[in-house]
Amino acid sequence: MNMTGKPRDVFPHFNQERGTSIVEVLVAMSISLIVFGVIATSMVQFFLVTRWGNSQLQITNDIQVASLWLGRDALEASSFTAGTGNVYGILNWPDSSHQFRYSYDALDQALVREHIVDGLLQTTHTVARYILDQNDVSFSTSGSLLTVSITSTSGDEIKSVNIEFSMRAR
Amino acid sequence: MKYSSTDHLLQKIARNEKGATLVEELMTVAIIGFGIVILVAMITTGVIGVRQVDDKVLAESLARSQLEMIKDAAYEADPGASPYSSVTPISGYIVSVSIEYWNAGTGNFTPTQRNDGLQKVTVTVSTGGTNIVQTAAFKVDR
Repeated sequence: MNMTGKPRDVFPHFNQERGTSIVEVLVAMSISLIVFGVIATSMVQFFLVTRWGNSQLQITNDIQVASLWLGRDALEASSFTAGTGNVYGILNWPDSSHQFRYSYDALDQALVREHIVDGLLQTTHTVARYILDQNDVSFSTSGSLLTVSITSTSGDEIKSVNIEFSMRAR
Repeated sequence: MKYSSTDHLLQKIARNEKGATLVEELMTVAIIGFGIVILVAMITTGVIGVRQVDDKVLAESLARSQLEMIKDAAYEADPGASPYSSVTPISGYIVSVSIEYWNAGTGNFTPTQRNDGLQKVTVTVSTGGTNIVQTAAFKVDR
């Protein structure tokens, strides 16, 4: 910047300016702090609530989707055969021509459903995507009543449900 | 004293400065406040929506489990005296079951106990005094 004169000479009208008092500066700073405080709090809350909501919807969706698939399969199946290893078990048609195998995918931390027809794998579906541990899902039977326990976890949010399914009698 | 062209420009700018009036400042604060109110309203609506979905899904799983348990149980001619087994409710949720009995003569369902081989089972799940889910199924004596 090329300033060849003193500021007072360059801006002569500055001599008439009163400037701001310390009280005005303090009031302005206080208002600014309050406004920025409210904005910052709103933004933080926005991100926190968004993350919470996202986690909630993910685990809720997990339970809803798993419940729909299991309900559909239990309606067709007449028996449940417990599995070993990463396989929870198999829901069988009365003639065993159709089977629905439920297993744990440790890599994707997911509950996986496989549809098998006459021993041949037809389709594979992931029915729950937020199963942190294989023990977070369990299958048990009492007569023809199948009880499935599902614990879904996303972020800090955890949801557990026990869902009952009545398998067909014949 | 000789002023450069830059000095003249600065003089011009400084003389034309008016600053912001109180009305302008108030308008700015009002617009920022309006934006914050919209943001807070969005967050609140989102939270309410997520909680409603959560309630709905848990209530549906409870209602489904209750109906499946009744479906799995043997037919009870008088569930008032010998009720069907109940699902273990999730904390904060209430599951209630009501039975209506088919009248073979009229074809209607009545709350008065009778045994014509068909019952209408209605399951209601509520939380905080509000009914979340109500679903019905039929129990046949066969």
